[in-house]
Amino acid sequence: MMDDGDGRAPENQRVRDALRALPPVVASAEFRARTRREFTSGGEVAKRRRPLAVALALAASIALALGGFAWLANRGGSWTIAATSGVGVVEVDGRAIDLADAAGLASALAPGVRVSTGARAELELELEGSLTLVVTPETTLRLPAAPGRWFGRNVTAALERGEIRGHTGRRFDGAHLRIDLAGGSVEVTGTTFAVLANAEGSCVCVLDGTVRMRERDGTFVVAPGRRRVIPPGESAGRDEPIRPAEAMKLEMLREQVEAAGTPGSGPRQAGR
Amino acid sequence: MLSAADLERVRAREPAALERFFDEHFDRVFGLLYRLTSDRATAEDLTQETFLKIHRALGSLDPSRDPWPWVATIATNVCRDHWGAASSRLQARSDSIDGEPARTDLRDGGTNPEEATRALQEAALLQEALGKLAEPARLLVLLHDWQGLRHDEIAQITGQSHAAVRQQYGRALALLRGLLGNLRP
Repeated sequence: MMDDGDGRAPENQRVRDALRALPPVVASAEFRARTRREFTSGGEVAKRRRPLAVALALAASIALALGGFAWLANRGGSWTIAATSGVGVVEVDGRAIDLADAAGLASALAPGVRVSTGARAELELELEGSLTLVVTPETTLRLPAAPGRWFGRNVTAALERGEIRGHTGRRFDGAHLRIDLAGGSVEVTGTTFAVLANAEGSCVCVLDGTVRMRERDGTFVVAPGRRRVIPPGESAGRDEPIRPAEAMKLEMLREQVEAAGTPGSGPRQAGR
Repeated sequence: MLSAADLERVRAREPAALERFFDEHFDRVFGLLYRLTSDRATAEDLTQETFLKIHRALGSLDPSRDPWPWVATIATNVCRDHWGAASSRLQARSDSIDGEPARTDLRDGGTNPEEATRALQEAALLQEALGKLAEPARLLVLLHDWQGLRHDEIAQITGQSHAAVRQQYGRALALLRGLLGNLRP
């Protein structure tokens, strides 16, 4: 039956004998019966191994996990309420929430919601370490998302009416906040600023840093201590010194936030 | 042993003939794949895959010849594909720790417990040495000495020349002898 090839040297005989004496290997009865049934009943053996499918599923799972991890790690935090002042209600996407219900307000805040303050209600919102926004009474604002840590750092808000004052923190560096207005838009990259939308038109006031204002006729840089106003119905804005009262309010905001240890140092007492 | 007429019925995929064909070859296929991979779960996977491929290839079965070399060729190719996959190499690293030892049939009536234990130890030692042998060499010695195939049949299975198989078999045996010598206490 067998020829010996080049393995017939006497010293190899013991190895050959050992190989021939290897006992038969017994499969489990369950495995044997299952494989027999599958083989004889039509041949479509249910394959347990699907290397390509398994590899693809594994790769997809890893990519999904990495994507999920990156998404989670990139998140720039969520809006919290740093302070409230006054009384009345705040509407969040049309739902009226009492200003005193800080927990209810905080849970309703999310990127993209429409926040509308009552005649005597003021909110100070913050993204920890990144951005503080004071939403003054009778203001309607679409809230921006938090800039991501590494990507998705351009965010957008919209001011329909009223006034917001803002101060950016260290985590905002490199991010861009665009605030859409009726007469144009404002682009903030790191500054203390106020944006107004009222009967006088659209206006941006800059205490420090710079803000770019995009109008119908072009984009203009608004320097520290200046403001730019676009009167209602006009396409061109005008540059003028910031009003003392507005400068004072912005200075107060900046000092307040910096004294508290950058934006996001925790809620302050109401009734400033 | 199945006759040519039986093998014709196997080719026609008659259930009763398939059962006999399976019973005749299952133990050898599983045993060979276990000895080649040293891992029970892997051997089971490869055995399933082998019988799937056998079923698909039944049209090429030659009823006038002994079907075992044909079956062994399919099993060997399945195993070589497995070795070629990167995953098998990763798995092989954990076999020595995690691998469940296969049950071996020592029931031959006249064997006393001491002899059975010694035979089991010798088999385990040989299996360990086989695991250390390069995969093509492992295939040659198992096909020749454990499965009883001739060199020309192995040459057909592996796609090599008869002379090359003889030469490589001699080297594989010498390597295995050296490995066994190192492993024996």
